[in-house]
This record gives sequence, C-alpha cells and structure tokens, in this order.
Amino acid sequence: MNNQSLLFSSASARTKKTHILLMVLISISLGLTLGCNTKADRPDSALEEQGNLADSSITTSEWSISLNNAWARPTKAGMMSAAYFTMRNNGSVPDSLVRVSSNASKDVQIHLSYMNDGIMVMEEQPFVAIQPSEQIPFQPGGYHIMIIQPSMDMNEGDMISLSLFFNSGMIIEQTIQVGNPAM
Amino acid sequence: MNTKPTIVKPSSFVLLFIFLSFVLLQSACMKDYKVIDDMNDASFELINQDSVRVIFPEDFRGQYVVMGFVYTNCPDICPLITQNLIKIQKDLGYPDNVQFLGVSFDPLRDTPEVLHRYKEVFKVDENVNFLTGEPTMVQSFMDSVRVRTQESMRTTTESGMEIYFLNHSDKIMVMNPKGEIIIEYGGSMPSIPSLIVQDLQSLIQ
Repeated sequence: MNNQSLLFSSASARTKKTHILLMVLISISLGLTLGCNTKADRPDSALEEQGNLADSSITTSEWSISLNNAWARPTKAGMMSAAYFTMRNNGSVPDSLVRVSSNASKDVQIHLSYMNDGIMVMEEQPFVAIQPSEQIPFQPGGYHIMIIQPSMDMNEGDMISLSLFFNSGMIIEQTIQVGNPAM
Repeated sequence: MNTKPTIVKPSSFVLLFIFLSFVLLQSACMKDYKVIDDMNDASFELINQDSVRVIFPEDFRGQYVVMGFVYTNCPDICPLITQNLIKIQKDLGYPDNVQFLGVSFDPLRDTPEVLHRYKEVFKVDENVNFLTGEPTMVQSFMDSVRVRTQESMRTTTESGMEIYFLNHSDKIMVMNPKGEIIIEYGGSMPSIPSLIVQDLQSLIQ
C-alpha cells in the first residue's frame, strides 16, 4: 500500500466515523424532540393518562372543588338522562374533570351542547379544566354529564350517585337528586 | 229648510280621538306574520305514539299547530324543547283549538312505543301528539320545514350496544289554520314559551 492509498483509506475511515457520529447525534436529537412534543403538544392524550400525571404533591388544603345545585333529569330505564351542577374551584390549584361514573349507568360521559351555524351540536369532552376561583355551570344547553341508558328508572325524588374523577387524582363522590329542585 | 244643524259636542271629539288612537295603537302593535313556509302543497303520512295514522298538514287544517322537533335519545336539548311545548300548552290554558306536536327526526329508533314512553317520562298531556314515520317520509318532512340533522358521534356502550347522537336544528314552529308556517323560534331557549304564548294569544283573539 502506498502513501496515497494509506492516506485515502484513513480519510475514508474518518468520513465513516463522522457519518456514524452524525447519525447518532441526529437520532438522539430526533428522539428528544419527539419526546418533548408528545408532552407539550398533546394535552388531551396526556390527560387521558391521568394515572401517570396525577400530582401527588397536591395537598387537601390546596385542593377544594365543590359541586352545588346538583340534579339529574328523570327518565326510564334504557332511555337517556343528564346530570347538572355548578362546579366551583375554591382551592389554589387548577385541575381538570376527566371522568364521571354513576350507579345509574355504566355509560356516563362529559358532553357540551352548543349552537354552531344554526345547528345544535353536542360533543363529548375529554376533560373540563377549572382554574382557582373559577365556577363552571353544568346546565341544560351547555356542559352536562350524559347518563346513557340507565339501568334503572330515575323517578323524581330518587337519588343517584355520581363520582367525579379529576386529573389530580382527587375524586368527588356525591349523591344527587333526580328532578330539578328549581322547577 | 227645517234642518237642524248637527251639534257635535267637544266630548264626542275626545271620545272619537281616543277610539282612533286605540285602533291605531293596536294596529301598530300587531305583528306582521309573514309566511315562512306554505305547507299546502305538501302531504306527509306519519304515525303518532299510539300508532294512529296522521296526515300532515291535512289533519290539522283549520287549527293553529305548535310543533317542536326532537329525538328521544337526546339527553340535553330535546328535553328542553319538550318542556317548552308543555309550558306553552299549559300557559295557554290547554286550548282545544291549538294542536301540539313533537315530531321525531330519528324514526329508526323513535318508534310509536318509544314515543309513548317518552311522553310518559315527561308527563306530556294526552292532547299532545308525538309523530314519527317511515324514514324517507320523515326526511322529506324535515326538509320541507328546514330541520337539519347530522350524526355527531357513534359510540359503543360498556354493555356492547352501539348508539349514536345527532346534531340538529333547534326549533319550535307555529302553523296557522291555512297551513302556513308563520312563526319559528329557537326551540330550547327558556324565553320561547312566553313569546309564543303572546303571539298565539294575539292571533287567536
């Protein structure tokens, strides 16, 4: 092997090493970028994984969310109902309602009704965020808890239970009345 | 000539003035109800909650008709429309000369039996009819009164049943005895019953 070919082969080896190094660096930076984007740009999916995100550092003195004027619409078994209340955050930390369950039905969802281009639209909500001192009404024609095909008749004056699961890991369990007390 | 001059007392002028003012004021306050849709050329064969055949608008000619549009799997808005229909009927004093209708735009699920149960749940008066029908007929009817629907979401319940929900127009309408739609309001709004009651009272008198 002459000097020229030695020089060439060592230059080629250097280029190879540089390429490998570059590829490793690109992979690391790509991985980091994608990893960061998953958390920053997809709050919905992050909220769905509430178990992983539950903030165990929140203390009960900081967290105080209450439900007032709760009621559910009377219906028969197998039909439809909805629950309404006023949710208020009296604490000092923000949180999000992410899931609701009830003894009245296995299928309970958070929904929002609103008018869009002359059509009344209803959409399932993955979560409802609430800030400190904020009050969010769940009322007919707005946010509501949809109780799909209850397994029992829900007559005026009956009581059903609601469990509200928050992103923080906190849960509100409340018994609410069937029938609007204001009517 | 022995004709006596007609003496018009000032008090008669006053009375005439008051009368004319009253007439003018009344006519100024009267709403001008324009025809929104003329249903006279239409004929829809529908069925009520008791499986009784109904021809719309033929069977209702000569009466005012108040009608709302609903589907019974609707948990939030349609109950408000139904409650508004109930309130209008109650506030008008359950009149014999006004027909009340709830028309379903979901005929596949809203069979007469389902509508019958829906009426029971909402304690709807027996003189209020809920209508459904063959899907194509119901669709034609909805097109004629410009009630729009679109499937919003389909979901499978934990019990494995697939259900769907509908986005829809939010309307209560009034049809006059000539078969013309003359009033159309947002069906679920809380202020609607009093507006329709006022309108109907001025029309019926």
